[in-house]
Amino acid sequence: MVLRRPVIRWLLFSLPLLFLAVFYFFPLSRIIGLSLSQDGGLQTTVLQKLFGSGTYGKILWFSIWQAALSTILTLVFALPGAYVFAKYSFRGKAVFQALMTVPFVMPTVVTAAAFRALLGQNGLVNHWSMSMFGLSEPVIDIDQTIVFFLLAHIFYNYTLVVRMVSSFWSTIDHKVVAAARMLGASPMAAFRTVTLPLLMPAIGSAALLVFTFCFTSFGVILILGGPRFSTLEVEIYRQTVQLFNLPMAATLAIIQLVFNFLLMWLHARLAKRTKVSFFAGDVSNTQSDPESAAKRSFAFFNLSFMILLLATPLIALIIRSFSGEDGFTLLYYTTLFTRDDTSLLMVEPIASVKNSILFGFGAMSIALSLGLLAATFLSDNSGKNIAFWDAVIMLPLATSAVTLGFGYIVALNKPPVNLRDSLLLVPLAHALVAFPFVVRCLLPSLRQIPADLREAATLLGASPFRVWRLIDIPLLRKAILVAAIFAFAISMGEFGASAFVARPHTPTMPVAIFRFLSHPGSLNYGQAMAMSTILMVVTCISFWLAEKLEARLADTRYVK
Amino acid sequence: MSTPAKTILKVSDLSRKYREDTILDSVSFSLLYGEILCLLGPSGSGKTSLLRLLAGLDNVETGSVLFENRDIRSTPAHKRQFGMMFQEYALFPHKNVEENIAFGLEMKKMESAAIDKQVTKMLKLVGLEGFGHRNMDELSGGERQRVALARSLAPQPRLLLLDEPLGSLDRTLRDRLTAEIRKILKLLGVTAIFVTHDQHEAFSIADKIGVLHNGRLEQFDRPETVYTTPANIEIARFLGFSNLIRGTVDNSGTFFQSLSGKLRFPVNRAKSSFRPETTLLIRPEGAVFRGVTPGSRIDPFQLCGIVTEKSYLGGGYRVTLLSEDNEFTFTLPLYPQPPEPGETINLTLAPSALVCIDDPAGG
Repeated sequence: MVLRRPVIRWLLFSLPLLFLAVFYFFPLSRIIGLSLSQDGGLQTTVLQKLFGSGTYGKILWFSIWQAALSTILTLVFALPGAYVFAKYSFRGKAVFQALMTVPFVMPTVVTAAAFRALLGQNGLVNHWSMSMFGLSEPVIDIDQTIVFFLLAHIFYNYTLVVRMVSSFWSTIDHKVVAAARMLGASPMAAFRTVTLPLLMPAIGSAALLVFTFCFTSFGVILILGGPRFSTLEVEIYRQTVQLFNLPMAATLAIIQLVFNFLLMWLHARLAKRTKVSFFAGDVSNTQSDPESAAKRSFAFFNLSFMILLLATPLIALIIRSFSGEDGFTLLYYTTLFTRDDTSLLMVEPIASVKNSILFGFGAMSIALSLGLLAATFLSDNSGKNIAFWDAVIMLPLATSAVTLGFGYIVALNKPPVNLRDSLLLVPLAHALVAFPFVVRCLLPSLRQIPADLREAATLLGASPFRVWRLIDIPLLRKAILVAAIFAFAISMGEFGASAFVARPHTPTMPVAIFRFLSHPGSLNYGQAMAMSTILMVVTCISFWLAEKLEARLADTRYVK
Repeated sequence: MSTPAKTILKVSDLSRKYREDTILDSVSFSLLYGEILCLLGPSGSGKTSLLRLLAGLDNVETGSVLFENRDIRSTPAHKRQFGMMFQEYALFPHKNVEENIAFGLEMKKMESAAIDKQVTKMLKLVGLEGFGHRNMDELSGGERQRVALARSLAPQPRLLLLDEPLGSLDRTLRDRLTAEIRKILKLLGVTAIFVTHDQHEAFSIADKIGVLHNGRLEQFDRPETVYTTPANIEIARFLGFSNLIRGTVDNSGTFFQSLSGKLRFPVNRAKSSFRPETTLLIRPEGAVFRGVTPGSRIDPFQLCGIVTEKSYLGGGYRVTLLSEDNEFTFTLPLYPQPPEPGETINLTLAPSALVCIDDPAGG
């Protein structure tokens, strides 16, 4: 299509491939190497430990059931919300939709901090209730329990389910449901026999995604669960950073990989059949007013729940960041600019803001340019084995961030690729995480461009490059912008890989927050709140900017 | 099947508002057993809204609906035992042909043997034997339409509602299927209400036609009556008539004169109690061309003008002529050959092709 000559196409595609080879496959191969013994077999001591002690079986089992429970709970809470968004129009819907994007883009570390701020021992609810009723014991005691991180999982997956299911729901032809009603089905029967079966692919797809996210949950469990809980992901980190047992970490990483591939494969199969869009569109124009009192109260109840779940933790975070022992204080913010010998970080904490933003731009540039090349290559349907290359591109998505980070420190700290002290290491890791998202974001828009537009341009005398430059790129503006913001936000909030690769003198914001949260003391706690608030604000601003810019760029609609 | 000429459905003063807009404005009509009513109107005229009210998919707020002399306003859609065929069919994408047709029967809790029998019967009725196990995406547009018809007829509905069921098909297929639907409905003696914006479809399927415009039922008559005497100019324009001249009729109601006074034709206006202002419709098929005989106008039914356009239609010609600053279009047979553009033509109009349309609103 775009670049007809295979040589040029492959030449351009070789860049993203080279990137994947060096920064994905090479680290991965090092992990596999580590898990094997000298003679090439599996390391017996590791295996004995793995299967003999029962500890690791428990970790795997825990990873699975906490993810399953999180998924079920999220669905229970989110499906009624999805219905409200798919079927009703109401005042302030746009605001709710904006609110819904917030948890979805919020870094997990901030989520964890926000839940600590709301429901933790020193949290807002306990703080207020104790001073109000003169209690000596906190009312809510869920620190380091499963309830705590289940809540956080529901928090950031709720909007995912609502968005995916509601946009799919609103595309189900209401006439199909009406047809069932006309054929004698009661509203319940019509839901059971028609709506639900049609909705199942979207629900299944969303559930699988939620399960995957929770299965690889890292920051939230590390921070809210405390040392008692360990998922595979957390255990890889502990084995590496705390116990220096690299072979064990590598073996666990391989197990994690196998599970993730399985989940992604399932997801790809489902998505192929259903075409559920991950980047769900706007659903604001397909609905009617809730007419009866029952419908109105149902909508009201769901929206109230949504505010309670999504807004209160973030508000609590902001309030906590300004409240010291004696009321309002700016202390937690001002101390971010200083450091002394007792400090947890090697630099002034505020430097991490600068680091994160710089790394964010770096990761965005790398992911965007490579993503654009890869998407252009993949959009050419005439090419052979497109499905295969598509799958290759998506592989990093199926690899947990912790595994990637672990791979980086075992592979890229000595020749042939020594980046141990390079500032590039973090942006490269982030770009790798963001890269599949960028491709997924660009590809649908690129494929939507009708071939005859390019043919028309060619017949009007444009060279292949000029066609790409003058037709494809302008039509892709919006998708590119969305992809760029996504890449930036992913980088800003990324914690799993950063926990391994960020150097002590160049911490990122999530790393700094984690350091603060994992150490006792009210100043550390307050600084975590302050830093989290800053990260939340930066994230919100970037998405708000994206929204603004996006509104300016009109949707491209192709005349048929 | 013979049905007594009794009223099955009586709709009175049915109105519907959505927010500030009036969708339906006091619609009243009644329908006899076994009749096929066609609701005809442009998009946005309220046809589908009316159908949804009758189906029970929307609630009646103002007006009444009596079905077999019983008020059905509070009966929910699934208990009315009405059938409905939807625009784009609304076939269940997760069920095959057989399962789609069987759905209504399952809802009736029929035994599976009886369901199988009825499904087979329906497949035969619509000419889809052997298609039972096909999925929806393996069917052509016409086949889907047949499945939708079979599905809506299978539970033997007491009233069948059809919402532009042929809307997405091409012309030829539509003509064929319209005839087929009428045949099947008449064979089963089903009372039906068919909604369309296509007059050809309406005329070929209906026993009665109701013309909807801006939510009002402007005319409710036999198809022939609607065609020969449209109730107002809006309907005449909607039916595609373009030979409309404004003018007046003399006191006796026998002579029409155009506003300029240059065109005069004898008419037969029954109700002379109307105001003299009127619009004369000359139906396009109501002119005869007897060869080029230019000369003075003797015959009062003669129309003389200069041909401005002439196009070949297959079975005849469409000829546009200019006469006294008015443009007229007629369909003329192949022989005698009408003159070429620029030449003068002399046409004789059939008295029955001249109709005075009194528009109470327009004056």
